[in-house]
Amino acid sequence: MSSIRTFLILSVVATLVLFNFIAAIQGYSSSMKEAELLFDEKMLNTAKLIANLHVEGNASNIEHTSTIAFQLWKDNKIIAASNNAPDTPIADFQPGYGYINFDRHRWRSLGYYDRKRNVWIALAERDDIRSLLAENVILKSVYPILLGIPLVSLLIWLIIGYGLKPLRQLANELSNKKNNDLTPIAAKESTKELKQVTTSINSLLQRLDTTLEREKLFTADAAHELRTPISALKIQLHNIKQEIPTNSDALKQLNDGVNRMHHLIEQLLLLYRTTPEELSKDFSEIDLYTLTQNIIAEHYSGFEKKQQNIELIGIHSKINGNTFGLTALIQNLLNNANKYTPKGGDIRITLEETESKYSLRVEDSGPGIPIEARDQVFERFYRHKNQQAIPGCGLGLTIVKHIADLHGATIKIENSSFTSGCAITIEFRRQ
Amino acid sequence: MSLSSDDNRNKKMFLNSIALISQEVLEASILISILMALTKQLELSSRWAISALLIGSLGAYIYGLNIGNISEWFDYVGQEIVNACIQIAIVMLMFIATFLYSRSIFNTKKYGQTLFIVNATAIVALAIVREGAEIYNYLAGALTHAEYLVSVTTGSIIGTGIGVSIGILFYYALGAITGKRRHIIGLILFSLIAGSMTSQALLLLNQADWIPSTPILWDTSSLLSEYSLTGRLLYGLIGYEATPSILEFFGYLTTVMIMLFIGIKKTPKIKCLDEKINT
Amino acid sequence: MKTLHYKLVLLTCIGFIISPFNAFAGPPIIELEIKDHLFYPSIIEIPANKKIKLLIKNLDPTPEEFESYELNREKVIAGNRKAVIFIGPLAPGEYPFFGEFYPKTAQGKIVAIE
Repeated sequence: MSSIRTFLILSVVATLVLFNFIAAIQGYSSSMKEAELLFDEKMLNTAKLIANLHVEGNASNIEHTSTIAFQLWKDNKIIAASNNAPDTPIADFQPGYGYINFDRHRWRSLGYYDRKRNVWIALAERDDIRSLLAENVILKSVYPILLGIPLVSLLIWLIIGYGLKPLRQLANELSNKKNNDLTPIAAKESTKELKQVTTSINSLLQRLDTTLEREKLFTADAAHELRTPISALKIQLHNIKQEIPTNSDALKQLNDGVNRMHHLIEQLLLLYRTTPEELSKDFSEIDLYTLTQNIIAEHYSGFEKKQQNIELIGIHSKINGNTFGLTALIQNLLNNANKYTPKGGDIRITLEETESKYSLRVEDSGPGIPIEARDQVFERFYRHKNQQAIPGCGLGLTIVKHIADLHGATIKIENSSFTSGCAITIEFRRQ
Repeated sequence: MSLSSDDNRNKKMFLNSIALISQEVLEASILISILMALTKQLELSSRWAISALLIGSLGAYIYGLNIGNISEWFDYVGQEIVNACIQIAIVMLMFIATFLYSRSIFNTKKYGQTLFIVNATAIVALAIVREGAEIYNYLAGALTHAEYLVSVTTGSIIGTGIGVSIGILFYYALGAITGKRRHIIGLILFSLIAGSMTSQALLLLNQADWIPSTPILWDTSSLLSEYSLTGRLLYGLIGYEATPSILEFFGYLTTVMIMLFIGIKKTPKIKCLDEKINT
Repeated sequence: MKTLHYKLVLLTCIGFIISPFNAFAGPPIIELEIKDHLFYPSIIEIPANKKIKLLIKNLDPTPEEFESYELNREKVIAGNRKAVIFIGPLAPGEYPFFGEFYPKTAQGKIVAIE
């Protein structure tokens, strides 16, 4: 993943470095050229000086200095020279500058002809010393550029970080948003560019909210409207059975089909009647133990039919909740346990209390839920492929999750303490 | 004949450090940029570049330390032979990288990705061994002279700055090109670098007298001198040479051709249509 | 006929390949020394259109890089070591070279004369 910040910082600093450094090189080169000219001019003056100071006839060697060397030639003979000069000419016998190697160094050489005295002055200056002198001065102008780069980079880093702050805030706000939270986002520091983004996102959120609301209403209305014809259908079916008392297979299937549809519609209605607005209106203190006990008693015939052992362990614990919602939650959990546990199986409901939470656990000895499917079971109409034979509409656990969420409770799916089956635990926070 | 060598190049330690370091750094940083852009496009992690840098630097240090002994191999041409081998190895690895990149191996086989990463690491590490050894030798020598310390250090920093900056800008520029054009431009650059490596290898083998000399094909030194900063940067980028020999030129051309041949994706033909026409 | 022709071609090929290693026909050797970052001699005269074996002795403790753009040659010579560089055949003319590590001082040129 590439980041806008890294890109901006790196590319800006790279551009800056490139152009500054090239400018520094240019500056250095032209300054060096100037310095060279200056040195050359100085050499010419020195040569002239030597020519003028020269006393005719004096062929003795003149005390040498380490950075310059000279020879005076007359009629192809050295008449005077510095100690460090070789016997051979150190410059061409023609006016102008050049380079020469002698005495373990490289020298800048100058040939100068003095017309009056008819002497050639060959002057040489240590080239490395010359450039070292010039370079030391000129490089000082390069240092500020070099030292400035880290400082400027740091500033760029801070500025870009500051400039991108609103974007980072917006990203944080969006990522902190809960799934079902469709309220508009507020831009703290509004910039022109981000204003457009937030406006667009907000209008999108609003449209989404309306759509979802409409969908909810539609499903609820449709389910409600379907209830009446289904009831009528059931009565008609009952009448047919009375009139034609046969054990027809088709009739039995028709009966099952109508029952399934009835169940589905009831579940759908349940799902949409448990909206936050509806439920949170009447929260009261509820004893989970008594509630569970009542529900078991109500549905005891179902467990009896499949000869299942059902046990309820725990304490009387009171939580703040909605009776209708919690009844639906427990009913659905027990209904699932009843459906998926085979004949003669075990179902255990445990109510526990810790310092921070109350928990309700329903365990069964059914086939259990594979680990990879545990996240999906809460999705609407999800049914695991191994369980298609058992009648159901895939809404049971969705409703459970929905109600649990409304109560601020969490859901865990684990393996049950029986040899097979699953354990679903709902944990309610203690106020 | 002139007594003094009237050389007007006027070499300075400072400028020379910049030229030498920036050229070596640039060669490596361009390679890294292209390969990193490719790994990014393949949605792979770019962490390999760090290990390549570390391995390459270690290799460069070892090579630099032993340059004296290596030089004496093969009757005093060991350096040429080792460098030529490194260059040829890089070219071969670049062929493989292009092959892996342009084929569908990535979509079908997991090891294709690992192979590409290993390959990219090897290419960059080898390039750094070669470039780094030269930098190491230069600095190890130049920095022993107190009078050059300032100019060489300053020059090296500027040279590195230029080389790395161009690499970074290059990477983002390559990333800014979208779609098919990125593939083509990346491939062309890759080919040119491989071509330059081949011609360098041939030059080294010729210098060692392992392959015969061939006449010089052209001379553009008056247009763009190799020792100007631009010339040196261009040399680092695409292997610009003012006076290439016939052999180097054909080595360059052949490598570019092979690379383009490997890299150009063939559009899959619609098979059933062909069969229908045949029957 | 055909086999003979083939053998001839093969022989020529082998001859061509091994000729660089042939000690008898070795190119003339020219010696060059590096001392205090200077080349001695700094001007070398060589015959044009002939391959030359340049034997460079670095008498300095620091490495030097022999470099010449005109000759297309580049080679690091470690401190207190020798190195061989083959150059040519060269057309008549001047071919400057320099020590890339100490270019300010280490400069010289090869002059190819007919």
